[in-house]
Amino acid sequence: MRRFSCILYLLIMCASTLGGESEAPLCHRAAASIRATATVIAPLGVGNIGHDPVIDSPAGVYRVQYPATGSVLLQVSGDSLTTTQIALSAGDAFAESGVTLLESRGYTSLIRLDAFRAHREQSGRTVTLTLIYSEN
Amino acid sequence: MRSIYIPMVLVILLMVCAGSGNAQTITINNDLSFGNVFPGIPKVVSKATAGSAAEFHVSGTAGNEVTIDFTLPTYMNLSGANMQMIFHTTDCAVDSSASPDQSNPGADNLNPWHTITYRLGSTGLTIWLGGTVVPKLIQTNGSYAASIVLTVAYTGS
Repeated sequence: MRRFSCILYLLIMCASTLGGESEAPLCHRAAASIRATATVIAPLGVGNIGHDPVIDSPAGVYRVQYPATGSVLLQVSGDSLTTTQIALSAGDAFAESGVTLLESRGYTSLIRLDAFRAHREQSGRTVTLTLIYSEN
Repeated sequence: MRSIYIPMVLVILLMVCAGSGNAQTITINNDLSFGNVFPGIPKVVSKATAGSAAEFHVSGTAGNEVTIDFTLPTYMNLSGANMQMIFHTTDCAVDSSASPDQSNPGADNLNPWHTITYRLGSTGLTIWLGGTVVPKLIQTNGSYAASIVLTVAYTGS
């Protein structure tokens, strides 16, 4: 009877360990691995026509010096764009900024940054604009 | 006397197994896909974006509590080049309902950097993970990839 009690005690201790909250049994652990993927697209070429903003543009980030009047036109070479593919991010001061795609033919797109009309008082100041191209 | 021991041992072992539940399995429904990104322009994939956010489904014993642990990468790689990844403290969501809703999950804004504890529902548990990729201004073109490991274990509760 003593042997039986001893075995029962050991088994209960074992059960307590397996059911403990701090240590899950290895046989009830599952793992899976997934992939995170992204494709980096070549920077779009860019140039400006019309007025004379200074554009320093690697890869979609443009430092533009405001012209005294008018808006800024950007000529972008790359895949053909649609209006829904372009957005402008330039910080809170430019919350009302807008971008208009004037035309997009083949690998050349002409984009107007209307922000400059609304903020002529900023003339001469250099700011950083980010053109965002979405996939949609 | 020996004839009594063996049934007792079997009964107790069965109790242990029943208390811990059946082994769970993890199904990968969707990888975390950022699609096309442009140098210098960070891109965010929300955990609520179907088809882009990572989605896992965990099946097991309904009502049992599990811990969820992620091993998260900090960079994606492309043969010598790398690109930074960011996982924010609200980038994970889970739902154990019979009809998991990615846009309105049972538990939202969970921290994937810490252990998440949740209870399996009648159809298991669905887990979503979003993230951010931060390409440098001069970032080598090409397809980048990284591995995210999810480990799920019963707590015994």
